Amino acid sequence: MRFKRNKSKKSLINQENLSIENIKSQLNHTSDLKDREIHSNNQIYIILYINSLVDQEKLESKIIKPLIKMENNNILNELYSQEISTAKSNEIAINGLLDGYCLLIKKGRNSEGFLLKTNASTDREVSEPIVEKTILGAKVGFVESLDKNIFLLRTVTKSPDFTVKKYTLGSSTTTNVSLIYLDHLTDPEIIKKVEQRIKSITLDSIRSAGDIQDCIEDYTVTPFPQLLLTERPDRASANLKDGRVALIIDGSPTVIILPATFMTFFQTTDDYITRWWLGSFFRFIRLFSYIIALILPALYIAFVSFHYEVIPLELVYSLQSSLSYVPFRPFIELLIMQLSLELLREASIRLPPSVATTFGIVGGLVVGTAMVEAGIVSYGGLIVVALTSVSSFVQPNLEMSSSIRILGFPLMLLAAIFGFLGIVIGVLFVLIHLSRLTSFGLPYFSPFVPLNMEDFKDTIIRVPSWMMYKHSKNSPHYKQEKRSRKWKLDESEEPY
Amino acid sequence: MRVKSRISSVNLFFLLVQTMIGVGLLSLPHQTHESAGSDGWISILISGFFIQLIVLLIWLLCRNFPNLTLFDFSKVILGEISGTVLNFLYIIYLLTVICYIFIIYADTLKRWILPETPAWILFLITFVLLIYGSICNIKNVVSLFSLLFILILFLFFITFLVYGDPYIDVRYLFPIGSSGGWNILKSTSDSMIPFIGFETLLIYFAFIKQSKTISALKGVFLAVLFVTIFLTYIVILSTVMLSPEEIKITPEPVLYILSAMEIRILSRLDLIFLSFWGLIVFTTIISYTFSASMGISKLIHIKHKFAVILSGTFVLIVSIIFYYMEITLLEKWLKHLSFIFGIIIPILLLLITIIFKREVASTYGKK
Repeated sequence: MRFKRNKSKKSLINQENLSIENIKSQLNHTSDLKDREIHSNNQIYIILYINSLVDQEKLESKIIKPLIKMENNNILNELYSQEISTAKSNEIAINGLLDGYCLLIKKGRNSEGFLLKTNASTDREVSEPIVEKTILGAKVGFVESLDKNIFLLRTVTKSPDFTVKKYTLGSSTTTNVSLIYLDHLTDPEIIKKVEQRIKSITLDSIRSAGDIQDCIEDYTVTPFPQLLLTERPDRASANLKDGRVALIIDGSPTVIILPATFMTFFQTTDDYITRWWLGSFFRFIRLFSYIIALILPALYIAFVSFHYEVIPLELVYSLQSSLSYVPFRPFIELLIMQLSLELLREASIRLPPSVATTFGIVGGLVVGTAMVEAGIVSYGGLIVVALTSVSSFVQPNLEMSSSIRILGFPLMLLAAIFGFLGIVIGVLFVLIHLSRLTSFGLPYFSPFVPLNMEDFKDTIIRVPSWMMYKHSKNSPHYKQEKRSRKWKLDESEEPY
Repeated sequence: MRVKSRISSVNLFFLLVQTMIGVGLLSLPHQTHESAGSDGWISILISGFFIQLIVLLIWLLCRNFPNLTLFDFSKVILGEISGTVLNFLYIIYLLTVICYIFIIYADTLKRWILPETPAWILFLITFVLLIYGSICNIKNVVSLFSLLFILILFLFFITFLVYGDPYIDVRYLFPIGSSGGWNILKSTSDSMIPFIGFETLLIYFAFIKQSKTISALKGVFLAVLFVTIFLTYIVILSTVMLSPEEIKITPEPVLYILSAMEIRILSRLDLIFLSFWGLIVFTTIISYTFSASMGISKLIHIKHKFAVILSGTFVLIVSIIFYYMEITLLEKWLKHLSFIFGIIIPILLLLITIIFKREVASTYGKK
């Protein structure tokens, strides 16, 4: 029903010429739609605006005041508004009103009006990002306003090639979306694909970045995210310089970066600020912890219930002494632990920070110890689950770390059925899946599949920045000069 | 129909190595020892050289028909009817190989890792993996294989751990050539089985970018060389580690050696080795299923997806039947079959092509 009404309304908009009555009726005579008549210079002007969207002071000082004092009839020269456009149809006028513009119409010549920018901004102050913490990185995060986010991005990406394209999405309520890229670095193929996919979105309304992600990602049936969501302008800017594309959605402080490959999710801003040894080490730790978080519970189950002969004898004795009081099979034991951990994790998100600390102690320490002493889980199981969750917290990206949670349970089940072989089979499934995924046509598991030695420079390790001659494959045009450390040659002393 | 995807020479290397290294790996030292004694590694080297020649012949055959697989150019060479019959036979052969691999795979896993799990469950899970792994395009196959190539290197690494063993004795290899030239040559035919996989080149050569130039052969030659060295290494390792009497009674010498080893944190290396070996066998299965399904889809004109399901189901049923009836029967057949389908038929096809000057028929059009 709703859809139908929209449609009829739309056709109405297109037919009519500009008329105040029509605009009012199409906005359902909403009570915050105000109009004001101004008599100036023997002319009658009508100003139409939505009260709640307009900055009152701007309207008064920049539009109404000059209009009253106006001496000649050339409106365009007299008004102080920074953006003036003509509105020829009701549709344009209504969209302008909804964006916070005010509509100025000369009475008598109803066919033409002007849209003047008077929108109020509700920007909050730029603050430090909450989820993506860094040690040394910039303390600036994206905010909820589209223009301000573009401003934040532009200040750290000064280039004449910085290109912004605006789209309006949604059929019943509209949302502005901006596509941003550096023209000389980005593969035109990718831009074409992104534009095509964004244009094909026919959602009723866009609630958040997630809606757009759902519509444009390559594969929906996969635990692996193919778009990077970030709230850091410096990270977004670094990705733009790597030849990627950013999507900013009005009203959302998270910016979509695409195309993202598997290894993109392991990069953080700190890697590039610290020296490259440290950066590479952190990368390695993150990858290692990803693997640990994925297979450690499964390995524990396989070892304890199938292949205890694999572990050294001393360890078998100590494991067994705590296991013998546990009435459940290892799989059930770990499942109980994992699920209660998920509960703790989910609960701690909703709590205010001051309570969360207390909650962590009560939930984690007390429940954990009590569970072991009550004989519900063994010490071994507890250690494994704790290590797993710590490893999953190491992941810099929230979505990537949740892919571990989704993949971990099937792996545990396979390990409980087939032991070590089950893990291998599960991992093979994951590898086959990973090697087939693409993100906007680019191979997802990129430096490994297909094997590309050049890309290893900024994935598993981070080489010093002067060694990255060529950035990733999606920016084929980009080549860095090799001269940054030429001074070393000049300064070097002769041995004799 | 010309194939549309293209792969590079490097890709062909991965494709061939992963297809060739498979189930034969584990029991190879035992088999060569039966006929050639401690000189098994020489017969492996000889058959490796022999395979290089065969591969060269297959290339000479395939370069006449750029971008056409065996299933297409057989009709050009032999005519519509006998070509179709040959295709059918090849499909049956490829499926037989998969059945054989299935049986050995499940049997080894059952004996070494999961003694109490019923075998049909192992068949079933392999079947599921086969279906999932083979419904894709050639590019996916190649990328998966190049990723899993690391595992072969990992197998190498695991065997290095063996050298801490005090019982290692190089003298088991000497005197070189003691079992006599004729015995060594005779055992060459036995050591053909671990090399099977090269016949899939009849299909894969169609995908290569420039099949006419010699550069297409580079990847293939390197692949066969790699496999030869790898297998020789495994045979030498087992010969050195186990005394001749021990090898006679151990069907899987490599695993026996590894199971005796103990490093600090892991007490049973053979389990680790077997698990990675399982993955490598799996690539062989995917490669064969891909080829066979391609043949089936060309033969009865169905989609690749359904061809994979069809061949998978066939393999599942046949291998379960053979597993419970007669395990060794397939191996005996395969020795002769691989000789016929891998060597004799390609040579015959090549001869016919040369003598009767068969060229790409007008139905396929010039390139």
